[in-house]
Amino acid sequence: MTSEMSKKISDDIIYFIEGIVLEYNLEKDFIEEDVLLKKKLSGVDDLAERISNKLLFSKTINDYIKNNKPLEEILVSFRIKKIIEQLINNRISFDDLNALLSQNIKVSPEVIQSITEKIKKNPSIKELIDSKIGETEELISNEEDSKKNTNTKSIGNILLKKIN
Amino acid sequence: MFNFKILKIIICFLFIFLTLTTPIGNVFAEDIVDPLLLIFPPFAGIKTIISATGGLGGAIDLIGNPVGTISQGIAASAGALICTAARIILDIGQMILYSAVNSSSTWLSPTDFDANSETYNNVVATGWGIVRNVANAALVIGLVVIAINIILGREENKAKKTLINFIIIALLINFTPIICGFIIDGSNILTKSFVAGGIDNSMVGNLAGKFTEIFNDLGTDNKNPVGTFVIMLVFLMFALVSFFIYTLYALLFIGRSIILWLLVIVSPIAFATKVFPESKYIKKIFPSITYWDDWWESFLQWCVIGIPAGMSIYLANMTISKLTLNINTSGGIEDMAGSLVSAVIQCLTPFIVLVAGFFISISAGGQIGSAVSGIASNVWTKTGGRAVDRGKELAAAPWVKAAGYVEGRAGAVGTWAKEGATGRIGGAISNVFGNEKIDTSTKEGREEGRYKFREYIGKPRELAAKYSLVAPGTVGQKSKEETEAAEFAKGVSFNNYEKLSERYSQPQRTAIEKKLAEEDLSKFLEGAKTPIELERRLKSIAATGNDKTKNAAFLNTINNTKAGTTDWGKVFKTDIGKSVSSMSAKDVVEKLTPNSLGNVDVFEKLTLKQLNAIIDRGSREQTDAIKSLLTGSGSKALTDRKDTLENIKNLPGPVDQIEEAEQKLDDLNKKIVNLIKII
Repeated sequence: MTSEMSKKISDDIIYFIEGIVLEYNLEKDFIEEDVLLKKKLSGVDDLAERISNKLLFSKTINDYIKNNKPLEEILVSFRIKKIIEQLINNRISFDDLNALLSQNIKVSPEVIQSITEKIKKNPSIKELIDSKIGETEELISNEEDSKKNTNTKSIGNILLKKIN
Repeated sequence: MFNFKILKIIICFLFIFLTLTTPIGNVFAEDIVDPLLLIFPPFAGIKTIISATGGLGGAIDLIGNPVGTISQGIAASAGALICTAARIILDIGQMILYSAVNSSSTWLSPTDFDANSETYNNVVATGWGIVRNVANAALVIGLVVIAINIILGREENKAKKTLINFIIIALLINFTPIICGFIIDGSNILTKSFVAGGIDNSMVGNLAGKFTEIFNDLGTDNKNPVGTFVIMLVFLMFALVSFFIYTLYALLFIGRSIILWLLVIVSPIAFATKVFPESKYIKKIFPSITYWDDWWESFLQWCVIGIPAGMSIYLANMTISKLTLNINTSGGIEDMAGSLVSAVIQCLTPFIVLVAGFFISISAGGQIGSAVSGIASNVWTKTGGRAVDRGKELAAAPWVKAAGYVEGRAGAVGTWAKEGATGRIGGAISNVFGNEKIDTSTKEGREEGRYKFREYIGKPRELAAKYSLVAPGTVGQKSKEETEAAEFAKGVSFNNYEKLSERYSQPQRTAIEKKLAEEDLSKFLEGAKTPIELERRLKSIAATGNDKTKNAAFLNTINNTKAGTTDWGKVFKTDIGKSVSSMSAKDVVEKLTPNSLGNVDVFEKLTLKQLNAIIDRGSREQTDAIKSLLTGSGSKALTDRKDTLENIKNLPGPVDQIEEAEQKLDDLNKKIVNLIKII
């Protein structure tokens, strides 16, 4: 019931999390242990492909999903996802972020601080925190539509950036 | 009022009676016939007979046996008339076809723009000039659209690619007659290589020669006058049929030329539309053949349409050259009938080749070809095929009446008997004529037979409407019984249906099942306790459900082991891609059962919007079904699919194929990413 009433993270946030994981190599140990997964992820920068490869080619992940076991136990990305879900559903605040991340991810305090800052600055998370339940879908679909229609590398956008 | 019908009957009776009861001889002297030739050419035949059998000497018979001699004269005149008329009809048909084939590469040719040439086409040259100017103006607008797209970053890559197209097309527009001419001339060369000599007239000569030979022997007593007369009629029939076929071919060649005129005229604008991005608005501004895709398809189809047509004419000629007609009129009726049947079959072969070739040709003509086919069908209906259609009507009518009678009578003796009767009839028809074998000894078999029966009953009704035998509105109209059943079904709930389904009449049951399936498909299908009952319910939906329910029911058959090994795509007349794409996001949530959602093929065809709708608003069972794709056999199927797409993407191959694989892989990855929301 609670999960039905809570706000769901958007695609943007999923990619954002995977970006952080990739940037700080947070799942290095997990990937190293799995030969097939390591092979499938080597040289892959596309975030969607990385996520889908992890979900499909890791036997450990497959087993966890099959047995309904929490993926947070093995994947850092899912730990971050859980924290962000608490954040967007106002169960925690930005002030709690640093402590929670430190508890869940075994990296240096500098990296934790950097991740905290990135989460705080993420516009999609901000929007979801401010939105009410029910508005989420609309927000997500609007995001998707706007993504579809604009190209950030366009001449128009470059010109606008230069003017700004 | 004078009754012409009775007069016609009397004349026919006298004609047949006299022909059968009197020996054949001559009645008119050669000298009397000559002036008549000036009035009507068929008398030439009579003249031939008179010459062959003794001229004026035959006139003596008129005194000795007046009735017999007059009747012989009537038979001879009729024969000569038929023979000459048939010959003239055939010659005209041949002439029309020959002229049509020839003119398609001479004065009807759409590509000669040289004003000094004999085959200069003023219409196409003028029309093309006007359209080219319009196309150049359209290109300017296209350039502006591309520029705006690049500036705003809307589909920028596409717009850049379009710019390259733009430059190429701007150049090509001015050379479309040369490009079109090259393709048209190529196809003309191939076509003409087949029909260089037009239709071979050896069959006409063969038949006419044989006929004259038979006719010249009319004076001898051992000839069978009835047989001779039948042969004359057969000859006339062939002449009419061949005239019709030749005319159809001629129309096809003339139509081809005229349509190619139009296509060449609008070619600049069609080339220009290639510059614009694919959009429904562009298609509205440049409809039909003015839009590149449609133009190119039509142009190629109409260029090559002559090749199968020419080839079938060539093959028919080959068949004709092998004809050896040998009709025996000396013996009795039996001998003559045998030789006549053999001759008829021989003569029919080239016509069958021509007719088959014609339909193959028009099927190559795509949509416009279908229109020609429709015109041909109408012409045939109103002319030569009238008799055949009448025959069909007569054949269909007793069948429809009989089926209706069985249905009606069975209704009178009770629901059980009626269901049994229609079920058995439907099953029997399917067993004899259909691919599916139905065991009507079982209840389920009879049920299936009833669906088939309704399907078969509907066909002659549709045919009848097609040939305007019944008002078109009456086809598909509900009977009183069906209307009442639909009314009754409104008050029946799932619980009532599951408890009392055996008690309902067939129309009531059909109406209730339709209503319940449309209300909640999952519940309706889950209510089936056995695989046989599930199959029956699925077939019931396929027969009566609306499109949305049919789609969803079809998708439910995938991965559903209870649904058996039936080819459901065939039953529902669809496939996964079509079914999924025809559903809205809302439909997907409401109609797709967990069974179908657990299928990789269905998952692959879902759009991101449809998938998100299920993730956000679907039931727990639905989301679990999708989640199961990440484990076990589902995961294996998805990884296989990804591997296949990656192989296509990475290995050398056609650019289009690689781009398509990249797009599909990207979509698949994005959809898998979305599954994280439900893990």
